[in-house]
Amino acid sequence: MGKNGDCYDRYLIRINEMRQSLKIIHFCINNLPKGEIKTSNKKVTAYSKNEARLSMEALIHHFKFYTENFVVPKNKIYCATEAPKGEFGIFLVSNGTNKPYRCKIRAPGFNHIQGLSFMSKGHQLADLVAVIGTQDIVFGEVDR
Amino acid sequence: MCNSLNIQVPVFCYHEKLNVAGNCRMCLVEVEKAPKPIVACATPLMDKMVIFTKSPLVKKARENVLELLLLNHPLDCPICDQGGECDLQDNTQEFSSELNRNLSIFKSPSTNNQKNIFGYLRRGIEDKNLGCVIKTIMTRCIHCTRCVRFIDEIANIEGLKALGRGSSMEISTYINKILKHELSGNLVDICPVGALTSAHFAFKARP
Repeated sequence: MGKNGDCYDRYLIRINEMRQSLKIIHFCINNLPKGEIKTSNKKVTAYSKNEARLSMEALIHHFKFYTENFVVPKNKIYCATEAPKGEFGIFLVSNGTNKPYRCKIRAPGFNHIQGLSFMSKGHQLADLVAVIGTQDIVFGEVDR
Repeated sequence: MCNSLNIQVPVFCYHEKLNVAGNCRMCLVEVEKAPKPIVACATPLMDKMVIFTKSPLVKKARENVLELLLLNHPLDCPICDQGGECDLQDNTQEFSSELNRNLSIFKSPSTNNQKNIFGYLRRGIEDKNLGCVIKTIMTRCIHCTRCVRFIDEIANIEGLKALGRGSSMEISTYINKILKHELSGNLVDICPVGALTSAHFAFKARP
């Protein structure tokens, strides 16, 4: 399987991918560790509404968190993760305010669609549909 | 002095156009060979002075000052006109403790018993009449005395004074008069919290 690089191969891979995804989901659910789910540092996580009703510190942090959020130090970062179709990465630039100065999303679909003309050369127009379908492109993703 | 080096020192009472009062204690910094932290606003700069603005002692001092200020502050942020441009909010967000001791928390909200964890009631102060352009909610006041100094020094009238001491201190006209001056509208800008806000803007407009 997966030796010829044609539409059928890509189809088989896609089906196998879903089976693997299910396995991963089952594994994660069964192995969830117990305990806190977020940091107790209230500068970067919100107080609960109940706390904000009672305590002044909590109210101010709650107010600030939901109106301005927190200020990120001046820096830039590229962080990538493995998505079903390839590398999915986000490049963020902070200029020391609460909003990102630049945010670039590197979606794998954009790179795959570049190969479309190469893959469909010499084929019928009707085959294009199958090629695009098995590449599993999301055009919303390509637009980013 | 730190401002010229672009080092941020939190302040409430300090204002560059007014005399230094040094009563909010928010700008405490550590100076080498000084036994205690000292106020940055009222200390003259000397030769070869070594100042720490981010040491653990300074951090602790700021946290304690903020905790004490917030003990008596009403939970008005969502309905306060100053909300979002409030020095108390900004400084709390940036300089208060991450430990979240929540000293100002009510003991039992169900019984409408507004006591903090020390068992004290929250301070209640009557609102003052400072003319038709200023809306006053004096429970929000943190006694920075910026308004007192503004009326004294810039407006040049003996209009506002601080009455009482300690926890019974309040800003007031002297006594039960109406503050009448053409510059009194500036108090809205001078006030670092929401104690003095614009009466015309309230719930209608944003400055």
